Amino acid sequence: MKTGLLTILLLTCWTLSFGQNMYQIYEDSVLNNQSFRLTSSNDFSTSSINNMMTSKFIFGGHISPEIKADNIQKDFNAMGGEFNQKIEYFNLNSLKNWSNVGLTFAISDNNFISSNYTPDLWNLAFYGNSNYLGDTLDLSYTHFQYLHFQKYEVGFYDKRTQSYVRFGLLTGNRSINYQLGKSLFHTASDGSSIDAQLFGEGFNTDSVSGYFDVNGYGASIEINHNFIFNKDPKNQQVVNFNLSNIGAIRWSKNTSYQIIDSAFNFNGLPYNNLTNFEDYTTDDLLDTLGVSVGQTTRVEALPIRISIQKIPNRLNTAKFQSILGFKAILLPDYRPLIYGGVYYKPIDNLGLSTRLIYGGFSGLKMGLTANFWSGNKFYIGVGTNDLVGIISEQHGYGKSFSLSIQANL
Amino acid sequence: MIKNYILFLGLILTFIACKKEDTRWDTNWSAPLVKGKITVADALPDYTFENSDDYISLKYDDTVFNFNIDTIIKLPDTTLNHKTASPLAVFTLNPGGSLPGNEINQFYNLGDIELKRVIVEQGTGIFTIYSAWPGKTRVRFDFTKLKDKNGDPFVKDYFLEPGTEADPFVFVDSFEMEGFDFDLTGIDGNLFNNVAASMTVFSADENSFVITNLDTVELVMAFKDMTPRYARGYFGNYEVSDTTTIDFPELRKLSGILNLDSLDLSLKISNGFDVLAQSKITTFEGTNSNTGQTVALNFPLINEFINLNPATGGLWDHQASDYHLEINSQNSNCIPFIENFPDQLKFGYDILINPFGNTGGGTDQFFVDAGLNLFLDGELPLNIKMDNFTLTDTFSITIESIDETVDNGNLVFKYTNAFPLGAIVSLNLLDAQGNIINTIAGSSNLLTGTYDSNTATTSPTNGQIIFEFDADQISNLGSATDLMIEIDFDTYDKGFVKINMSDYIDFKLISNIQLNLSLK
Repeated sequence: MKTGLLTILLLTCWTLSFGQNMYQIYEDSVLNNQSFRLTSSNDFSTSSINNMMTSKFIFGGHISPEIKADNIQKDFNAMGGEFNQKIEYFNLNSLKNWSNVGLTFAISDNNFISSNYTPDLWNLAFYGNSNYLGDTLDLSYTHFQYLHFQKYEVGFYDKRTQSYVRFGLLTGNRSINYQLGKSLFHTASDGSSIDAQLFGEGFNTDSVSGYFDVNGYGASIEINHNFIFNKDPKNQQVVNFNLSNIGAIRWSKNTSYQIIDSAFNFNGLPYNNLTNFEDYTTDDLLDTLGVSVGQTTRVEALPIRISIQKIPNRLNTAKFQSILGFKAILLPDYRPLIYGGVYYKPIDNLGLSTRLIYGGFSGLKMGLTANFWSGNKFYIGVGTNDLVGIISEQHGYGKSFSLSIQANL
Repeated sequence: MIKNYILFLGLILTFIACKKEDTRWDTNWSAPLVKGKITVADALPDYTFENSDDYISLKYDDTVFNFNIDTIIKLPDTTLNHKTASPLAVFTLNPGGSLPGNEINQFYNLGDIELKRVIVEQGTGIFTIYSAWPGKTRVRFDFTKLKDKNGDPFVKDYFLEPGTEADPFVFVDSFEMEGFDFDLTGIDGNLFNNVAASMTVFSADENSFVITNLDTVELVMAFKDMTPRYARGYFGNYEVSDTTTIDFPELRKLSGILNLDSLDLSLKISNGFDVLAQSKITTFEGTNSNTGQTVALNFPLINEFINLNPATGGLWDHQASDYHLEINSQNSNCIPFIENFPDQLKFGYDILINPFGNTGGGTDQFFVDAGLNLFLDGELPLNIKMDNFTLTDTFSITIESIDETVDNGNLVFKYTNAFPLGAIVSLNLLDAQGNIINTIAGSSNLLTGTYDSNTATTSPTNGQIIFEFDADQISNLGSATDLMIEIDFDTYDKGFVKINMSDYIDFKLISNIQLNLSLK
């Protein structure tokens, strides 16, 4: 039953992902004593894999030579995604001595994927080595990371600027993190030998049986501040600064690690050792490849996020407002993301915006957002950061969907 | 729950969980599989040597037949009884007093065998003593002609509690008899199969006690599981004859024409016993099961008794007596016999032990590591000629679902051949009934090295053979149960060639396959 409900919920998210994206809108919350906000933010993007190929991994099927030919890799290739589901609560009256400060609570579930790989690794995986006989393939600095955790946050909220700082307790569920160093792969021109130089390390946490099973604990801080320019509400400009995921998780002692430091040449099994090959164990193979394995605790820093955005101000009476932004995740897989666009308010209760986005795990993308207010009590916004990704399998390089619902009491 | 977790790895993993089929794609891989450099000495390390003409001879040196005389000399489990009692009707035994015993010969029944001496390889002795004397006693058993493994006379003392004739005190002792040396000639040294022993009973009581001639002390000696290390005496007159068949199933893989230049065989009959014997080889036949053809090996003295002299020396320095029977292409049909590729040898023999009775006066000797053996020494100089000489071998294979992962491909056999032999290699896939499903022929022959008959040396030749596997053959691999490899050999120019120690084939097997990868 639980499995079914969870599946339905996520499938619903997928269905809604063909809607539009949303970005933050500044609005006056002085009149609201309490607010609840539900946010679902789901983005997956790649720099070099179109949705047609991605869909083969999602829905299955044969990746034809034509599909592979449409996915020629670049010198730098990345893919990644963030899937965050969050419930926030703001209360302005909880601290009687501080009239402008309230308490805020948040609970969120966070999935994060980040990866980069070389074109040679891609070609090796999807074409094999026969097309590259005599070539040395560079697999260096390939990285893959998956992280799943929950945040339980409490913090203080300034009702004048809607700025806040939150302190979070983290429960870590699962982490997989592998990174290659300088690594090369060479097959002789006649296929008679294979040389490889592999350096790398990584770890993965103990397997879990339930989605929320805990494998580690941590702490984090999030700082969010809105800089208000021009005191006249009708002409105010707002720049939002957000610094989040400052923290770390300490994974349990059952976390497995692997280190490979190996340079080997394989030119065939000696014929007189074939009978011994049946006795060859996985440990023997790991030993031959120079792989060290073990279990230990591990402390892993969260991927720090920084964003600076000029966000639309609902109080501003202009029909059009510019929106600009910068976002970075401090990982080598993620390139700094910038965007710029226009916010349009045809009527007081409706906002529409569009933007061009470049960077992150992907290249150039276009976003669309729709925001609707029902008085000052209810708000809903839907949007996408990748309009092309939603409508095109061949030219899209990701999927994106966000939904935000807010109720003010 | 695991599935539940996977579903929630984010949207991507959720979608993956919704997959209706595997993700599949085709890749092409080249990889070395097997390599090697093989010489004849590598392949047959125990069967090759360089002969006086500087090329290889195959040698065979093994025991064809073994007759161990312990099939004749057995030391059966036995129990000997010795009882002592007072010669007087009533006798008072004071503290420290004794009732001396007399020496006796205990006969050890060994049938027709008359042994004078035996050294035991292993066995167990069990003494059971019954005392009906009313006081405490000490009994001494003295085996004057039995020595333990240290060479000391075997003497045993036992302390016995009082008993009665109706309820005697019983004491049991056992001991290992390895190395025990029995002189079985009796007290006076003129008997055989007799164990000499004496028993003396002492009072071990603080008080005097009275015994009658009805009160006895009895020793029951049991010898179990004894095998001899050495035996001397007369072993009797025996005749043993039999016919045995020896299988060489590996040779069934060979067929075709192989011509040999020469062959030397030596039969050695070795008599390791100091006993007069005669031996006769009644049958020596080789049968090729593939062709059904049987060739009897004819050589001098077949079906004639050969006198085998006794081994010389004694227990520590015995030397077998050997009889050599040379068999070669001049005095036998050994070459046709071998060229028939017999995979079954039928060997008949007749052996007589002491054919003329006890002519040695009971001086036959048995040594534990000796036997009456027939050794076959053979030398086959590899000066040979092959014409479609075929090696056929079949391997069981289990390749499940390979057609789901491999679309097509080939195996490349790259080689440097420095043997004066070429070959045609083909692979056959067989079903469970042994029917050929597919034949996968090589793209070319294995080329022979270039042979110089003047110097009897071979220059290497490089080449490669490609075995292509199409989709049908890959599919058939899944249903095949066996893989049959046929290699048809020809010598250089189909003439006689000499194989040298330095001749070799250096090879590498490389696979090139289109692999269908899938991700569930």
